[in-house]
Amino acid sequence: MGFQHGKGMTGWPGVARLLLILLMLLPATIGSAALVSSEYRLKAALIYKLTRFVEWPDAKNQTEEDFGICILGRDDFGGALDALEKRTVNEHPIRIHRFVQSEAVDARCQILFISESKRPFLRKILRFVSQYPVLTISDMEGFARRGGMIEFTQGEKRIGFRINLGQAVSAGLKIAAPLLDLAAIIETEQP
Amino acid sequence: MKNIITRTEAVVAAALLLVLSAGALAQSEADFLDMPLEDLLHMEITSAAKKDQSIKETAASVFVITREDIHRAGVTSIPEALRLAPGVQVARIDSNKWAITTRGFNNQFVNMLLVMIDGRTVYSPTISGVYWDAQDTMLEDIERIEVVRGPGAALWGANAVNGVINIITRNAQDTEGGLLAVGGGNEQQGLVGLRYGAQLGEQAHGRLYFKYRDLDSFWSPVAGRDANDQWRSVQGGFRADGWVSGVDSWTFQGDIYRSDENQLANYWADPADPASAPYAPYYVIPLVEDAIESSGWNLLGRWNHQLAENSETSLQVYLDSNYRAEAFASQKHLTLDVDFQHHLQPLTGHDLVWGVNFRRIQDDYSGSFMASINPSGRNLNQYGIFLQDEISLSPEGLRLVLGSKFEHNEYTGVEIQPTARLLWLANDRTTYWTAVSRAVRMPSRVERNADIVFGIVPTMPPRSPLVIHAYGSDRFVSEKVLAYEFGLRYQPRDNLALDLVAYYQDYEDLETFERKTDPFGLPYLEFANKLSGDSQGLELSLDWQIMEWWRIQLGYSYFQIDTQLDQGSTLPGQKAPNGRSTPTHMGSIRSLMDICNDVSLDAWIYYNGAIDRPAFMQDIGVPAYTSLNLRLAWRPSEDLELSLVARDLLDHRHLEFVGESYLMPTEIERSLLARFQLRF
Repeated sequence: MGFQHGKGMTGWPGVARLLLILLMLLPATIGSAALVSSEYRLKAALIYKLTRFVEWPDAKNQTEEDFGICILGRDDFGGALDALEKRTVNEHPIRIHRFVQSEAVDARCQILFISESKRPFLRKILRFVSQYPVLTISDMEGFARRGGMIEFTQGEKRIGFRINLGQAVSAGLKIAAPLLDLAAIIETEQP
Repeated sequence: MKNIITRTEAVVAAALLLVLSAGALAQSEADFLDMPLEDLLHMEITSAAKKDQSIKETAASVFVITREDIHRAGVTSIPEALRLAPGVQVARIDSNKWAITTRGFNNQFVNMLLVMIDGRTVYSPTISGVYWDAQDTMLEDIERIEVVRGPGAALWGANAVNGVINIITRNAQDTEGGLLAVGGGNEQQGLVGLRYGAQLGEQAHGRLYFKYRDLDSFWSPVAGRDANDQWRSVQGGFRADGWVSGVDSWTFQGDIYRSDENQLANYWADPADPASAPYAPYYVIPLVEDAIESSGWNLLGRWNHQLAENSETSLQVYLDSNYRAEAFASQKHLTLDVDFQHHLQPLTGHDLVWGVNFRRIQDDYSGSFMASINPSGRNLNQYGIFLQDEISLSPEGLRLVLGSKFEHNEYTGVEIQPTARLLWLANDRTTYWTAVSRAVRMPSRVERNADIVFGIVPTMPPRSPLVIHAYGSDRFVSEKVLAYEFGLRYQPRDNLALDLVAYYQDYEDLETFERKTDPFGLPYLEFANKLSGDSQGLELSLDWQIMEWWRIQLGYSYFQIDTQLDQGSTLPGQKAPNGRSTPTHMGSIRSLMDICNDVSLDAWIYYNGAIDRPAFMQDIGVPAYTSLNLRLAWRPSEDLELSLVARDLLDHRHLEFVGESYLMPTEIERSLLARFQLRF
């Protein structure tokens, strides 16, 4: 069996070749420098940037320890956070830790990103981690209102912030004014 | 043909090289880690995977199998992953064959399901069914599998009669870095998967993968020996994703594979061939150890362009080539598919999507005494348009979806497949929907043009035995369904979600074989459409996150069907097999436990009720079976996972299905698999 190069068959190689050339041209047209990013790549960068505007209690900053950025629950970052491990915060090298259970979260974490997958247990988780001076961040809807510190919100195309300043202060964290200017400040709502 | 294969392989290799070299030339990352926060907040984002929200707002029976579901189930192939969706009947015929359907009509060549991988249709035009052994990818790179039960033809076109399965791989920007997965066990003797992803230039990402599988044979109770269904496959591929500006993004991907498979079959010997004399008088050659050679490649490009705030277009083009050879026939297909879609909101309250599609399939068959396709090569063109409008009827969350596909194919002309759907978001936690849809299943090449030896009747010498053929027919038309569905989604608490669907489907012009007599008075069979029927059923899923470390998922489906042969049907036996191949009850329970932060233990039990008659052509039943599957995983570090998977623990081996008459029943054996997965 096989394709004979007879009647009706000759069009194929030409069509196929043309299409392949077209397909191969697709990547070649990249070059313009518009500022576009994937959602979680940008969120990873935002988490890193936030560290510049937050002050953790002194004890944390004077040790020789790593700066821990932790993810609790499903990891949607797909490697984008790992790129932060080449960076430092106040000369502490960043380390990424992933947790399945909130009980395992400990003082290694300066930042805790709580995944949407943990939504049903948010209150319990926030209560548990309140024993550490950890900045809690999430992109789940209503996070700041429910007692989280920084919530990434999503507009049509861009990402914004909600900050629950009261929660941050009670954990001993200081958030610098320029960051507060960029965010909507809200308070915890009792359920 | 040798020429064609080498040329196409060279083209694919060239494409791979191109992507690789693009990677090598890639500039260092435009590091937005060094950009001011204000600038980051002004960046636009490319929309990631569909949010759960959109599933909640779909007026169809949808179940999504997530990446985590696949991982935690410990499955190693796409067909096995589909068992996770309630209402999907996955029946393994032997090591390299599966019969998979939703809402009934299962058989080895089941043909009412539309299956797509990243927008590429993978059902075979020969049988209108899917060769599942040839559908593989790196499972770790699957983002999700959307399973739509019931007709989806208004959007996707012919073949989406009983369901649509949409396998979606991850965007390359989410798969940076390396992943090595190696496994071995008694049945899956060698599994190797390797993927590496990197940034290509400033605004693109790419990945390459390679996969190897070596699977052992199961058991043939008839032969009293192994079923000679062992097989091996090698597959590789790539995917690149990028964006040009805030309004343009693209995907370019491809795969290439080859598998060498085996089967144990009973074949017909040609009585006219003197060499067949030893097989007289029945001319059956029993227990032939046959090989299946299957190979193929595909290339797909997609370009998305945003015209305005509420207006988006996408153009997708793909080429797919595949080849499959077994003793009775070989087949080769080359498919070109061009698909354009435009999504817009022209008026307040209207969400409109329309599209045009063109597909050209070139095929080439070579047959044998047992089966042939005449003419052996054809070019089939198929084109269509679709239009769908989602109308907000009230601010209280009442929406009406009206849409239809108009599709032209060379067998039956224009087919119209409309749908009307009503969705009511009653409150945050409750959604009701209902739908009426029509869908058709286009004739396959076999139903139109096949010549298959159906039986050989011994005669008194010196007359030669009577060979009974089954012929495809130009009169064979599309099978049709009219479906009525009703659904409820209810989330009483954040940690508990329920999805319930009830349906009634009315079928017409279902496939039969009719007994006929030729001008010489000799009998033959012909494919015809002389069966109608109606089915009804329920699909239920329940997801309960009991505690932070423990999740339970329940699935259940009920299925009932009545079929009726038309007056004057001469189907041999007068007993329509269609519909009796799906159990009345199917159920599953999964328990996913995180015993501690780095150890998880998952259990999965599924039950499939008895089936009267899985095969069209042989009358063998399959008893009910229950399968217990366990998976224990340990992550000693962030990047390493060791796991043990035990499947089908409750019996030494069991029957799940029976293939068509040349195949004998094969029992699926208990399996153990040790696996290690490393990210680097």
